[in-house]
Amino acid sequence: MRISFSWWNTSLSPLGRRRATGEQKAIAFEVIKYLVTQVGVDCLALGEVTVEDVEEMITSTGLNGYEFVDGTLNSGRLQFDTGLLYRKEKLQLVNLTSLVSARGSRSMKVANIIDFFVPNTERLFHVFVSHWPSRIWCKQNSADRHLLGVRLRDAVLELNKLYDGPAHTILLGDFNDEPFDSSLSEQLLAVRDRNLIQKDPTLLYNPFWRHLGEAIPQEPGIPCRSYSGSCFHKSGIETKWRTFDQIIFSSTFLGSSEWHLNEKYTQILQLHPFDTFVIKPNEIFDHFPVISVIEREEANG
Amino acid sequence: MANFTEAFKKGLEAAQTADRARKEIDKVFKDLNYQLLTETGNKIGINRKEFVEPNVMGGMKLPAIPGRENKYWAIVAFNPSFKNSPVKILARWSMDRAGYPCKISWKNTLYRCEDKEALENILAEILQDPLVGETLYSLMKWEKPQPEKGSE
Repeated sequence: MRISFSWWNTSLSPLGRRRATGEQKAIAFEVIKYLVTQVGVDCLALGEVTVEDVEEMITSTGLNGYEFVDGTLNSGRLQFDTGLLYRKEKLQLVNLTSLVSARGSRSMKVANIIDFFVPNTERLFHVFVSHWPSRIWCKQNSADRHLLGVRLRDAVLELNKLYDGPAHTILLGDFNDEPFDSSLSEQLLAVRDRNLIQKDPTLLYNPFWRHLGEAIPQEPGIPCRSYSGSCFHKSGIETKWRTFDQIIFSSTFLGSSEWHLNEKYTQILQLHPFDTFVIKPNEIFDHFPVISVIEREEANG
Repeated sequence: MANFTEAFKKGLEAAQTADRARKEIDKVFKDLNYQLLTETGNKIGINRKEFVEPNVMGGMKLPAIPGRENKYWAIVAFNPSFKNSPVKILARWSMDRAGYPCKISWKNTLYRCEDKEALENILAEILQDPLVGETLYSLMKWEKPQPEKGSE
């Protein structure tokens, strides 16, 4: 059995404010349709969407066999703008909780936590969907960004307590931080070193450490047009590309349970011709989807 | 040699900080309780109370963990005019050993309050909720059930 997880920041409705034209929505719906029907994504988390966007998308694409988890909660003064489509055949929704960190008069969205039961197994998967604040509002390496990482890690450790060991946890989203930024690498402890995780199973594995640069290596005489990240910043000085979109796994997917990460499918989906919209000036789209796949070891006989 | 004296001093300092934080949190609830008692003529009190629940999540059993009881704390409202007033849970509550962050779980959202101002803001947000308003109103209007005629 295989379950694929994908995250895409659609750019349609940041902070729940709908801004996309009919043409832009049609482009986004095509991308989602492609992810679901061609790539076969089982669990697709979406950023910068409203319920109306998703309902419109389901109607226009005729999507069958999927349910939508509305994570676009208006939690007091906070607006969550994420949602999640999942294939009913592979996952059963158990619970949805939003996690907010409040300091002084300011509140920050840490994650939506969605618990799934996997039919025909004894497993609960805990999927954390995050869309952390932009660096315009919350500077790189600021105390608030550290706090987001700390609180996300606290939530992961609290889940582990329920199991007396690491839970089956998957964290995905647009963190507006890269794998090497302190919030993710030092506070959340989403590391690159699989051997280290074997020694300390409370660490998390971030396969997107391997996706920080150009997707295709430079080789003489061979076409090597690619992009070096998941998110395009046209005004970037030292780089126009960032790997802000990531999928992170608990150690249970690295050999200590029957579920395994198959890392060869972990990718930034630099879709063509969608890429032309991502790099186009004055276009709303600036993110590629990311994907990861887990597989279950089937018992012999 | 390890500097145990320094570690000991740090421990004492941390204990004092935690004690101050816990007292500050107690004071927030004391103020909240006092203000509602005053406003309602002693008909709404707010407190924190411990409950026990079965070991389930979303209707499914979680792995049994020997020796660990599923106890939880909640922020509750009651009508102090009556000794046997119903106790209504407004939100779940827990607190770090150091006082902050304290956690309030309400309407499918888990708030981690990092300081006094954040705690006060979230409590105020809960009080403004229409469903909480209805609960508090019903408590204010609650009357002790009358014994049936001839039952004495």
